[in-house]
Amino acid sequence: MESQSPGNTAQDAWSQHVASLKADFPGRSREIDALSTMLVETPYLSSVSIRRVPKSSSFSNTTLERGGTLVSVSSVPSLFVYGDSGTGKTSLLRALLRPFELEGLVAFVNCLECHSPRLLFEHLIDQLLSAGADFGERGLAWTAGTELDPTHGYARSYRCDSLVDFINKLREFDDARIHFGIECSSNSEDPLLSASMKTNNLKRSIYNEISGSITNSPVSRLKDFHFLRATRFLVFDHAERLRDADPQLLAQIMRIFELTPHQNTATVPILISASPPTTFVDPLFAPLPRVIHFPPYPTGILVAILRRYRPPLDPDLVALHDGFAWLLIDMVGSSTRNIVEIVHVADVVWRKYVEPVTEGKIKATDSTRLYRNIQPFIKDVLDKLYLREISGLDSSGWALRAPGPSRTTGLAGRQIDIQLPRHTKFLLIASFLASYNPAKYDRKLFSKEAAGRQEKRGKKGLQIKETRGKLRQQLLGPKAFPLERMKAIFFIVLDTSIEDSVAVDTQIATLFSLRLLLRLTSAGSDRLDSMRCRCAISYDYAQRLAREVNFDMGKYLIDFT
Amino acid sequence: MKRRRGNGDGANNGDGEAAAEKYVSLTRSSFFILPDGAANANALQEAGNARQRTAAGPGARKKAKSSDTTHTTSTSAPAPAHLPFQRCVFDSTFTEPEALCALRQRKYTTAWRRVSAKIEDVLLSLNRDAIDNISRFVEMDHWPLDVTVLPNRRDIPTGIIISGLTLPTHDLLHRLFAHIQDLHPAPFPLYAPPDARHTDTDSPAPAPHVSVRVAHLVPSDCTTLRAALRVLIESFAFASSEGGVGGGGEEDPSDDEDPDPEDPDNFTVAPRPLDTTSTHFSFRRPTRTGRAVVHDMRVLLAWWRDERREGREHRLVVVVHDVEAWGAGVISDLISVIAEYTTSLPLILLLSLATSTDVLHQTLPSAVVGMMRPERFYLLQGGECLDGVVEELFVHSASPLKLSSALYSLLLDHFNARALSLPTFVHHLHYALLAHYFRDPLSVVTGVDPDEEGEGEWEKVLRLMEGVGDKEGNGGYGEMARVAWRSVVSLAESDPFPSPWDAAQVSSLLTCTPRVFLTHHVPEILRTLRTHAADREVSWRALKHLAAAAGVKFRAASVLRHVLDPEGTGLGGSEWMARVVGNVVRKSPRELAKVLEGVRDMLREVEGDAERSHRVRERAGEAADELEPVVEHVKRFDGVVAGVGVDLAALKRMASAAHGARRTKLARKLREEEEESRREAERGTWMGAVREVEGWIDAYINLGLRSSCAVGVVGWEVEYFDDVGVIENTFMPQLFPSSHVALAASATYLRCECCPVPQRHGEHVVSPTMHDTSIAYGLYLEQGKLINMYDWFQSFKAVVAPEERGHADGAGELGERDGSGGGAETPTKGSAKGKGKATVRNGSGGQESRGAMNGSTDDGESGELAVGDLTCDADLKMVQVRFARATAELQMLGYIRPTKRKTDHVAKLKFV
Amino acid sequence: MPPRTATSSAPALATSTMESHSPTQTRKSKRTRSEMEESDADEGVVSTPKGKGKGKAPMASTPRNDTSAGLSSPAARDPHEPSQQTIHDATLARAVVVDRLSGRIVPEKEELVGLDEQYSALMTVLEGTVARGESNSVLLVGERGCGKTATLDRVLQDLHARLRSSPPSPPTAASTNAPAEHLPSKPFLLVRLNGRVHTDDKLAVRDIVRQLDVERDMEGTEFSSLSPLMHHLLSLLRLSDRTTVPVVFVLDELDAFADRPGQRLLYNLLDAVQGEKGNVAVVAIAAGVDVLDKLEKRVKSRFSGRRILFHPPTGMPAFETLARNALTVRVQHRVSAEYAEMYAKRMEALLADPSFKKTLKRLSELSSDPRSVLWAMIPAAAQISPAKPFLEPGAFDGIANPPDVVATEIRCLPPLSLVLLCAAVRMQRRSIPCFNFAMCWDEYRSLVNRASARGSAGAVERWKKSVCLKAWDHLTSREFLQPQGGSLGGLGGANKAPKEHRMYRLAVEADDVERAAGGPGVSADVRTWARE
Repeated sequence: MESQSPGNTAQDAWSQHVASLKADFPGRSREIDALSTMLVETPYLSSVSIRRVPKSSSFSNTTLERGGTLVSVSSVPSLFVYGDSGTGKTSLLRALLRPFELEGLVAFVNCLECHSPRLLFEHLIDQLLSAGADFGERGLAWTAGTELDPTHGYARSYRCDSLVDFINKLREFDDARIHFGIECSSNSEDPLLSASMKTNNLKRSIYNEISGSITNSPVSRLKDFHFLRATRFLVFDHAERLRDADPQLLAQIMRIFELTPHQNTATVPILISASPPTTFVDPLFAPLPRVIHFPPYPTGILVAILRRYRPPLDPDLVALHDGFAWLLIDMVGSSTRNIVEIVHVADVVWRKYVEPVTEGKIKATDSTRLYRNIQPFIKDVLDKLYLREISGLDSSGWALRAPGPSRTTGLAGRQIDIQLPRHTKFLLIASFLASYNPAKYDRKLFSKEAAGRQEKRGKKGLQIKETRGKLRQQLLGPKAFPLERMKAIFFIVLDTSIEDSVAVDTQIATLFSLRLLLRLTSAGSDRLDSMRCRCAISYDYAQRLAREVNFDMGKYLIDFT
Repeated sequence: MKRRRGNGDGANNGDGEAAAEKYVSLTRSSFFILPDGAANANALQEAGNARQRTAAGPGARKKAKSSDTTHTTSTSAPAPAHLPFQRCVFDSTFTEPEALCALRQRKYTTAWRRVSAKIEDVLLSLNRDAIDNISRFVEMDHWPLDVTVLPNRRDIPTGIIISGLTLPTHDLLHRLFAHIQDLHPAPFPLYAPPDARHTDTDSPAPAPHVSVRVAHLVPSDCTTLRAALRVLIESFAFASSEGGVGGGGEEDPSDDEDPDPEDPDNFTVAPRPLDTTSTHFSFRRPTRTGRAVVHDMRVLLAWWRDERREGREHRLVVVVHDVEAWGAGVISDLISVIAEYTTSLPLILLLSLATSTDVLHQTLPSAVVGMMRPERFYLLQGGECLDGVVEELFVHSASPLKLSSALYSLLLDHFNARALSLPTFVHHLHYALLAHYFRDPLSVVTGVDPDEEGEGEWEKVLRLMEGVGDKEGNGGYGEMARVAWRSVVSLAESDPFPSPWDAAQVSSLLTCTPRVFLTHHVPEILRTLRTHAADREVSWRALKHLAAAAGVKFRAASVLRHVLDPEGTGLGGSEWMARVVGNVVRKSPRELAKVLEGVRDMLREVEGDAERSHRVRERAGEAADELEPVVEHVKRFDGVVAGVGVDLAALKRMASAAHGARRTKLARKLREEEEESRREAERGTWMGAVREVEGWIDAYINLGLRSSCAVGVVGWEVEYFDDVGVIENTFMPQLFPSSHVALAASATYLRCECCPVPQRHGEHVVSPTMHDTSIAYGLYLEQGKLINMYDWFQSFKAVVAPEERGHADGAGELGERDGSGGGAETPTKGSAKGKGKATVRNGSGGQESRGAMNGSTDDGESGELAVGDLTCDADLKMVQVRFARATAELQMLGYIRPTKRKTDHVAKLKFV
Repeated sequence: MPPRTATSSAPALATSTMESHSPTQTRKSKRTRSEMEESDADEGVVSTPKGKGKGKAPMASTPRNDTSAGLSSPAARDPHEPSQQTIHDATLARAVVVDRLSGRIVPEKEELVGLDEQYSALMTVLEGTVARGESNSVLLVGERGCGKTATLDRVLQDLHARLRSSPPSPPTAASTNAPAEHLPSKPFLLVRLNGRVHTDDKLAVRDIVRQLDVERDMEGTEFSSLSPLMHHLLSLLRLSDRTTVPVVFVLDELDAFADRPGQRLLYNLLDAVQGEKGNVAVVAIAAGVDVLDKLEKRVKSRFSGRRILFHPPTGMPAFETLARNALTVRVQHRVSAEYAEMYAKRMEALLADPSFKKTLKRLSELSSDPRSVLWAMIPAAAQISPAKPFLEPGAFDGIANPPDVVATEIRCLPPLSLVLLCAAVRMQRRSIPCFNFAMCWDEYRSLVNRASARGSAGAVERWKKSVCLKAWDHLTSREFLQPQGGSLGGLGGANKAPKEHRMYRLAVEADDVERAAGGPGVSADVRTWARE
């Protein structure tokens, strides 16, 4: 009669699971609760274990002893998990659903990676069917198809590139599964189940499910619903990709709960995205899915996380690390709250921070001096780290590339001078001028007599009205210009007089391939004589160029500050 | 058309002037000879020689003038530029023996092979440390345990290789990765707890042997994410496509052309293209395709796990070439996909950039940038590579290349101003080399060592060369050499003769029989050149040493330019050198002594080095010996004076003196005298010591580094490549001018006498003897922006038609002249009628209209045609065909393009 | 089954769920936070008061966050535990209610509010086909979620129940037996097609074949076009006595089918229906009334104009009955009697509860279609648990107006991003609807300069431009800023313009930003910038 109270042990196992999660994910207990209320209506410890749980499973052991596994039973039509990247949406869901994953009831798919319906559905099916291996040879037949191995040239046995195929495949799979369930439950010692098996209801209901028509005999509900009504979760990460790529498919997926009506195994889509839920509203799909919001971590939690996942430390440094965490977040917190970024920075700075302690220069308790010690270092390295200009990786003597009198700065310095041929630099400057100066001023600026005039009255002499407004070209960005115009400017601007030759064109081509110059008219068009393009370099870059070829660009720039 | 006749008369007048002209022209423009018989150019050849044509460019007229002397080649077809070499054949006087021609060719091939090999080595050795760093990076453990690791989260270890747009990155990187393949990095620590489903499969102990696999992603074949992933996975998993993988390499075709929404890159489930078109329904059981979905990362994952279970672990290196050229969407997606798998696969990313890292920040969203843990590597940039190459090729190699200063500075300028690309530089070099060997019969002696002990190469070559010409050697190599080498001629003119020469020698040089010249003087010349080379190498080393000591940047390329500086002073005169010397001598005695000793030891070392040629060694020894006393002298002042004691005024004077060297001989003489006096004054003083140092530098570095062509060693042409024209015309041609010349004044290339050559620049003449395309072009020039095809055809016919009549009566020239003259005004007449017809048959394009024209001319109106009575319309058809072809070619050349604006019209394309 | 006292930790879940609402929660978190601050204080880390303020700000902004892990270990349990029976009942009740709300089970007839005549009309039609063997076609028209499909299912199920002659034998999963064997065992066959799922005819046909369970008969057959295929299909269903098994085709999302080129599937289907002597019914479902006009002539002519209109319930009473029907749990759901009546009492109380009435009203105003109203109740109903075995009025508060997550996100933004957003807002106010980073950066710089000129220096950091650009990038990736192709100088596609010049438009409410700037821990300057 042990298993007559499946609820308890299941609840037990489940709540333990949840508790451990809360420990693993600081500051997420609210979301965890919300999720588990929505997703896990009734955790049920099916004594008809469809899958023998691998010993190495990370999941809580109570269930292992009982030899059963949790199945969730829930009826939420769909779910939307919203939150910034690095707020633990995916990993939390993974952890939360892991027990059901063992049952083959959960599938995670990354819409960014699965850029086509076929990939999408096949990834899903692979994960869902992989549980089949454990029920009978029929199940094996199912699973075999999903396993990619060299003997088949890593090919799947099936092909599934539409929702219809997907649904059908699942339906068939479930039928197989159910029958396996009946077979082994009819000879299982579980009185409840075997009893329910004896009554015809179950069989009929199952049969009716299969035959596509519907029954709803309330009598048979309780007896077998646990076993039959296990819910299946499909998690779509980066759902916004799906939305952008193919809204129709997204609509289908969000309605998959309705589209698989009255199945034993309900299928619940869960969308994960960093884009606002309102952007997912679909006219065909009136009710917006229930949104679970993962707000950004507040400072305290960030610290807690840094604590939780810190590298192994010797005990006397622990306190120091905590202090450090606060310090660090105080420094970077103003520009980012993203834990990933913070961790990336933390690794490097922490090394520098403890250095004097490990070397015994400063005592671990004297954090003021430590701070003073770190401060100059932080000042210049912080932004670079944050922008991933330099690497934090520091292992096996691969020196931490921090600024300082090291080889790196030399290289970084070399970054400055631009490796371009002299004329090409002029070409770039010319195109910069062409795309930031209105064409109507060209004569005034570049014609021979303009030079003289500029001597006299400077730029104001050209009656060019300067709008210092927000809509000035400098801010609006580069305009498109015909190539001819740019060339003309080039020949004027260039200090040495050369005649137009192939070399110039080849250089322009190079600029195109380097994306320093953007061609707007397609290469295919036969308009040899008029090609429009746009200059892609920034003002500073242009200035650097001008300085290197010592060319006074300011003289020719209109309305720049 | 008439064959070219009377070639003799140019050659037969034996006076040296013409002969020189002849030979020079031979060595100048033999590239642009049309072989005999090919002269009546047909379209095919035009196309074939288009490149040579355009290459001719501006200098065309000069060549035209010089080229009425004959050139014929043994091979009839125009050779693809180099192979096989053409024997130089002069009428009667000089024919190059096969053997020598072959020899030239052999010398060329070997020379080039040596050069290119050297360049490769230089590049590799220059980038050695970058390469080592990269391989270290690939090999190291990127997943150390002592860093904070968030669940399911790892950065991509990313190597950013900044290669500059200058280097042939690919070759270099490929070579690099060839060597990376056999690294053995640490095994990959799987993320714990690993992905739940694979716990059981991944438990076994780490694989013993870890190898590296590399996938090269080139933007051209990764236009979509799908394509990129496919390339990635194929080159990892299906690289060695053994039986098991089967057809795994290529995806099942059905996957591509069946209505697979994956093509090209996005979803769109419905409506499936195929299904909307075909209404074909068939019911098949799904069967195992046996082919993988190759762009599916799960495949890669499965493969990697299998391998690992087999005990083979791979570290996967993804090389993304030319990041700039990628589509922003594709590369960012690719990187984020890779980031997804960092916990389950040991993926390493290598991005090769041309410009700088801002490209990454520009093209990638910052979120994606945040997935990478970047490490930067700098391959050497173009300039440095060039320096290395130049130094290796022009100074250090056993028999260095030699470029005349003009040519060298041309190349250098092009490098700095235009290309900044080593490959281009190398191409130019290659072509110069080719030109030298290809066109100069005398190149057989290039780089030959006359006093090689035993039966050396020199003897062989000499024997062959002596076979040519009469027993005096007239019309043989000797004569050719003497008259072709400008340096000899200029020597004759120079007055007074430059230093080593006196009147007797000069006269003997000029008056001796060609044979003597060949047997006696040429080897002499070769010897001098070799000594110079040797000197240069030694001095170069010393100079480098000094420059390092002086803390002046040593840019080999620019230094070499100074060295080759045509104005005699060479390096000595340059500010750069002045700075070096200044910095050196400003040092304190002890330091100075140290520096000098350093130099001396270096020289000694060279002297002792048995590898080097004896010339180099003795030269080094000599220099060292000379240096000894100087060092002693300097040492004596140690402690007595502080180095700064040298008054800067003196240095200034010295520098100015150095510049003074550039002025007249008189000035030089004066300078020497005052030098002398100063020496007297300063004897025993510190200044004196400094002077000695400078003296030494001057003697052993500046002089040693003087280049033979710069100081005008007689006959330097034998080894120096100095054909600026070829390079300019071949690599920096001005397309439109040259093609204009080629079309408007084709005679300048064809050198036929039948066709008139326009006298004044800009004007053009049309004559029926010309090639059709030229005629059409000539008429084209007269037209406006829109060209009426009919009128054009009429005038074309008017020009071409008289040709028949021209054959009929002997007075060809006249007939042609006025014929063409008539042709010029025909359009006005022709068009009057043509217009009406053109309007009648409307809408048709150029071709059809021509066809229709034909029809119209058939029905009896041929009589009223303005010029040229075409008796049978067969000829007319012929004319039309020719016209069609001509216009087609013009269109292909981009002069005209069909327009919609007006029927039967084509538009001129305006050119810059 | 006998009730057993269980040693279950069921409440653990419950406690955790309750915690999220209990006021003690926040107190706890406050305490932990304060001690954290102490810790960093006594470690003497030099953190300016400003820094602490920063540290606290987001904390205050998301008060419901609890900070410390492991607060809710299973150790924490309240003494009185629900009996086994309640656990059982509650679980069951929850399942029943949620299932009904989510429409996972077919509603009983009486649960269909005000759809009786539709029910009967549909019933007659289908009966006509199934029992009397007459071919029919009918169109169900009505707004989304007002019960078309539900009614249909109900009808079908009742038909099925009524007509089932003998309990059929359960076939094995890959049911391989020929139609002749099992066809008669079913009263009728059902084929469901959905225009938005069966996106093309091939798919549709394949699915028809599958649902008719005649794959192995179609094995290897080929058809050049649809019509012969259809006829072949129906012929397969023909029985010895020349009568076919009744088939009901359900075409959901008819308009999607109508949009297909040529409407081939529709045409052939209806044509086959006409051609066959009887036994085929086509039930089309569409949301738009105008769908009939979309049909081609040839299709329309073959379609019997019979339409059944569905209307969403109107007025509070209707919705209340809806809610009541949805929430009821009866004894025949195998809950214990006492629980059932207790539940009923509580439910009535709930329905009477004014706040609930308000919520319901609000919901009905939000969207008139019942389904979305019911779905909105799911999270509330899902809170039934052994610990809280009955519906609580409190649970239903706030389901009508869920929190504005975007606003929360903005409130939690780091200062830098907030400042940038402020700049963007200012742009918008200056009637520059489209702007790019360069402009906002310029604005930001001028603002900072002004501030420092006014002497309130250091209040706002001066970030590097590149850092700002990264923040900006983040904002765009969060879609708080929405890219504008083409407009203003045509700086469109990613490859067509440098990053800082790509044009964007503000995609969030300006006053959200303002409110966020008003929040605690934001410097006064920023607040003023956001406001003016």
